[in-house]
Amino acid sequence: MLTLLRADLFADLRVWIGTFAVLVTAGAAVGIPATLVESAVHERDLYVQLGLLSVASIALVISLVSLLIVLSSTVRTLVELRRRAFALWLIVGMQPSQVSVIVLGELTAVAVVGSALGSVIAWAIAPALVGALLVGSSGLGEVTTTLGAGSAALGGALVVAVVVVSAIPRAREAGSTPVLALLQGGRRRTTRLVGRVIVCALLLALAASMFATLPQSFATGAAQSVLIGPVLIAAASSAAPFYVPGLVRVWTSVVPSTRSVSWFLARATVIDSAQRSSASVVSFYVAIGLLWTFLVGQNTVASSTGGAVAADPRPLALLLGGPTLLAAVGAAAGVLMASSFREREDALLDVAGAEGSVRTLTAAWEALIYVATAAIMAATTAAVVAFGLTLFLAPLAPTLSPQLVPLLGFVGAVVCVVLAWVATFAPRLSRSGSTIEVLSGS
Amino acid sequence: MTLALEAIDITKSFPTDRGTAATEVLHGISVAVDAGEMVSVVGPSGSGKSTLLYCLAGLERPTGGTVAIAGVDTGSLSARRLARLRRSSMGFVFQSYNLIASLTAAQNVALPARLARRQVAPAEVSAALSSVGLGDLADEKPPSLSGGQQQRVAIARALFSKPDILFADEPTGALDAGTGRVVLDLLRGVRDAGSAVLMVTHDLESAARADRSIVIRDGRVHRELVSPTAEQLFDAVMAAR
Repeated sequence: MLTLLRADLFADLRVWIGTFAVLVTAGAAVGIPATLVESAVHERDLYVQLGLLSVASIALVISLVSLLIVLSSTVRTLVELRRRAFALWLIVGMQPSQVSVIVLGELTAVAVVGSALGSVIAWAIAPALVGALLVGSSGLGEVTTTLGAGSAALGGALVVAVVVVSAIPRAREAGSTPVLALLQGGRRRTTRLVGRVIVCALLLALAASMFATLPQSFATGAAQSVLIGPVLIAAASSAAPFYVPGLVRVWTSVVPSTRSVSWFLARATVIDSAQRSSASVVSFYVAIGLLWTFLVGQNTVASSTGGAVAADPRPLALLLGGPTLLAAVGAAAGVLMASSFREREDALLDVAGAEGSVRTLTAAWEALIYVATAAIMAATTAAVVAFGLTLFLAPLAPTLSPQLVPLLGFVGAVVCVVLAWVATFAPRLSRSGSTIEVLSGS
Repeated sequence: MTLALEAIDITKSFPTDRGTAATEVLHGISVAVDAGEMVSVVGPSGSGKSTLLYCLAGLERPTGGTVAIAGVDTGSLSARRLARLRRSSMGFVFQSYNLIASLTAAQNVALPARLARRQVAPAEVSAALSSVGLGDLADEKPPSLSGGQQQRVAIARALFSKPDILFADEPTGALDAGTGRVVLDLLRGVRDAGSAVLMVTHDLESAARADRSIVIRDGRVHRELVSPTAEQLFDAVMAAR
């Protein structure tokens, strides 16, 4: 069994490296809200303590949204990409329950090691980082920031818990892999539709209640305005399998397929991939949307007083740095993990007579389509936040106007495209197999 | 008769995993295939027949010797020009079909023509699929097709650009006997239409349907048989073990 697991690890090395990178980042990112909470607990000044807890609660909510979406996407991608291995295990006589247990065990083990490493990183740097980011904030600049080993470990345990909860249904699916259909080249879609509808409906109800209570909280700053975006992102992410393939199909039809063969190929690949899993798009969506919708909420409410929002990026980095970094790493890891499929697609195009430039352009367009789709989703969410806030608060603040901050969305999208291209093209540098070796799987 | 393929003194070595002396798989093989001729390559497992096909088709670079497809020396071509030659003069049919899963059957068929920036009329693609009996499955993607149907799509794709030579690597290897016969009939049709066909196979019944068979042993041409029967091929392959 150990031999099998070791061979499996090396056979799917990129998949495991991508997963491990996400888990380390998650463990480190959780260190920021953990530091805020522990610092608040040790703080003697009640007002400072409440201020810290308020910041910590926002950071924790946003981190949780990012953790849940990114980790569940990563787990789903990992299981999808390894279905062939599961089919082979089943065909040599392994029980479905054994496959499920192994998948769950592997993921838990990697989660423990990865989040532990992330926790160590958080323990080493988070107090200093949080302290630096709090400097200049009113009343919190002098706070002594601390993160004990216990709190760091607790953050890591949260990451492991999210991974295990996400992995349980995936492990069951792994155990019920349809062996013959898969080995004969068939593919199946695994979308738990009912659960997604329920989660989406609950989150939309939460967002609606946050909008509805805005007038009551407006006098005290309408703090929930910055959290509506993340909640809407979570809702839209859970419903993503329903609309992402259609969205890709519709917006990419703007460029006629006859214009460029590489565009035609990339479009077909992304639509096909989105029909099976929207994980890649969703991670980019979180990476672009979290910061964007947060700022849209903040700036739209601030526009009621005509006051400019402080240009200091430190509070934003404190609240959103970790979750955004996690989402960006998750998105890039997703692209990296799927690169073995890209190699095969490259080889197939090579056999069909595609020149290297066509293959490179196809890969570049693919990454661009993923990010652009995510950017469209983020722009829609930002617009809902901005116009929703305006709708609910305009009676109280006639000067309030939607602040869409489009430049931020654009910059976020550009950063994500660069990340996606790095994740797409970096594995090519290490590709050593010939077309035939790739096609024959040797 | 025009030569669709001419290979002279092909050698191919692969480095070993431990970096020691390379393993020579092909030892100076010469092959010529005329336009409108179907040639099968048979031999025991490990004799080098698939490696020979990949070298002839430009999917592997031979270590030595020359390969000319439709009179063009492939050894001197850049990757870009080799890709162009592949589109214009070569077709491929593999045992594992190797269709692009995200494209429909029709899109797979039209792909080489699209790569060559040639305008493709839907009726043209439809006719190609109809010629292999799949006119009503044009919009299906490979995962929803059976093995035999996928292989027929691969043949339609190979034929669509009217290649000088079609390379087939175990084209019936994953198919049942009946479907395999249909595929072989289609390959014979390719030959009848004027293209050359070079087919590597371990199935001697299939190999016997070629105009000529080359028996490979330890990376060398062991025998050549014209219009062989399956029994003759069996004897030749047994003698090559």
